[in-house]
Amino acid sequence: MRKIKEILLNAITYLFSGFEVLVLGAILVYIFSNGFSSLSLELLTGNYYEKVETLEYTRQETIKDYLNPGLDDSYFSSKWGISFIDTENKAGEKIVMINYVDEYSPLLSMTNSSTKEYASLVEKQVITKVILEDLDGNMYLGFAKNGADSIAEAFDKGDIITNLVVTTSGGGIRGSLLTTLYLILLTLLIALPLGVGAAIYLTQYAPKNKITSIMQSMIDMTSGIPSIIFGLVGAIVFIPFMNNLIGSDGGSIASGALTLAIMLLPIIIRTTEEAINVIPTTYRNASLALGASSTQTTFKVILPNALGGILTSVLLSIGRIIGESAALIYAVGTAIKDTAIINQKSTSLAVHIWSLMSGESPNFELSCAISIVILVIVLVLSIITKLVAKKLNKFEVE
Amino acid sequence: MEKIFKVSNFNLSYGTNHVLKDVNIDIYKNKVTAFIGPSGCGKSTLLRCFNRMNDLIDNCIMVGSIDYQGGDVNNINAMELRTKVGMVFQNPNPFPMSIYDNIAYGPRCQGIKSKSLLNKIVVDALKKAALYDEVSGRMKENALSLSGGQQQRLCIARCIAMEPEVILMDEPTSALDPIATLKIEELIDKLKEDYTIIIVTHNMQQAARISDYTAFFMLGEIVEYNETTELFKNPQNKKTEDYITGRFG
Repeated sequence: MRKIKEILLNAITYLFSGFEVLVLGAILVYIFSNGFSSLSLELLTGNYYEKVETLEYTRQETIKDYLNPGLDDSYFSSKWGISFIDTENKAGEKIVMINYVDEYSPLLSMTNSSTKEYASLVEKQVITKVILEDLDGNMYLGFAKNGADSIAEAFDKGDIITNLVVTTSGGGIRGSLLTTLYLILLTLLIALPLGVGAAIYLTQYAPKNKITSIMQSMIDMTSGIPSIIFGLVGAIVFIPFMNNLIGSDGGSIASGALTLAIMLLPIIIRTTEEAINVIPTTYRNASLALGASSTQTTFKVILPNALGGILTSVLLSIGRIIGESAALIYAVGTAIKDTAIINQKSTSLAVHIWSLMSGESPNFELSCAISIVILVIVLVLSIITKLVAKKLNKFEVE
Repeated sequence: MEKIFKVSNFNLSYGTNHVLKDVNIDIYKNKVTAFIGPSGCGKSTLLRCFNRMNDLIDNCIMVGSIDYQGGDVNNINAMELRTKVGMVFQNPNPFPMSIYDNIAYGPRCQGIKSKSLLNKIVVDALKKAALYDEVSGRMKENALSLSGGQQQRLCIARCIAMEPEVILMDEPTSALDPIATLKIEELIDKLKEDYTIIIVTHNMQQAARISDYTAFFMLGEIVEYNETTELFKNPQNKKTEDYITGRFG
């Protein structure tokens, strides 16, 4: 009877833990299977927005035959040394994409019609429309909706390109990646001195009375507040404050950093406090008995030995900043940008996902790709945290 | 004989716990004075009063006076007092930094920056603490890599580097093996030429071996205070006799 009971209980624990592992594994498999194909260096460094440009090429001086590279399903214009392919974009629309440009092709030195700046056609650009003329003034038109063959044909007939509409590919996350980086730096710049200072005060100088213990429990409470409430505080307090201070218009990276700093203070204070509290009091006594002041003791003995804990708190904070979305939706905004400017709206990686998924046509592939980026950063950080803690926390086991 | 400390009618209590009761004692200059007595008798507490380390403890109430070279210790700045009255603790407690930095710590806190001066102070202190020969080649090594006895002598050197007049020792050998203890005792014997030493010890043989004067404490009172040879040979008080002959304690 007892044996059956034990087997039953063991089976239940195995079942539950197995279930949990299964769920976690399923999430990872889903994210990786959806996002891995979109993962590339271009994703990390590219613009999010597609850019439409109108280009022209006045006259081809020397006409020569370019060698066809013979790519599958491609249409090649031997006169211009360019090859096109029919394909679909992420929304499932038919598009014509450049898949080869000869290194001596005249198309590498075109002119932007509006800015008159130098421009060139490169692979992976999408062509929607082209108008060419030959030397007799006959017009040849090529449209993407008619397929790559019509565009290649138009190219082969004309000698002057009067109008070429080309789209550079978008969907990159450079702006959000930069914004996340800025947020991390700014937030730590604000929160770290405040948090470490508070921890030093609370452990070294604060009298052990009611007020101190109320402060301690308030710090603990702050770490339990849902982050959306911090976002609200950011929107109500920090956005107007920053609007006045640096002339931003609405949410900005600066107001987001302030919001995150307030949110992270409890983590930094608590971790630093713990690191200070495990330092043996004999060090403090030894320093004081040598005639050092309590300030000297704090900065020469206590802080250097608490460095491991402080670093741990920094890494934990970075993890929180990367993962935070709710607070930033209010405090920074949800407009995806291709650059990161301190006094302007932007999105962090997590909010980028929110923006992608909250529109009318949610973009699962890109969201999953960003998730992978976030997961990898968090994984690396947690490994570093463990290593640092192991190396610097000398007093953990004593 | 010149008195360096004069304790008169001194009372101390931690909250409601009356630890020292009407203590009167004179400490003589360039002598080794030992405090002996059972645990909890207040000898360490009195020791910590000499360099005002009890100030760091909440609820510590002191009545009466302790004079240091004619002035009340409470009228001397605590940090200044502690540079004159150094302390060595029960457990060796070098800082987790290099041997050199450990000894240079005190002088640096006093604002000494000159490298050559610091070098001289460190070498002198290590020589006086009979540690120089053992560590001269590895000044940059972490002090925690030394053995327990070496660590304790390092703590003594750290104390000497401040050029104090008095060195307080709170059971400095209780965490050490007999050989390390012997070395510390030899060191104390040498140091008394330059310094006044007050040592708290549980080891009566140690008190008899190294001290010139001995005070026997019990339940917060000084039962007997006399020259060490007198106290151990002809104890005046019955309790002292019982304690030193091992009948209790």
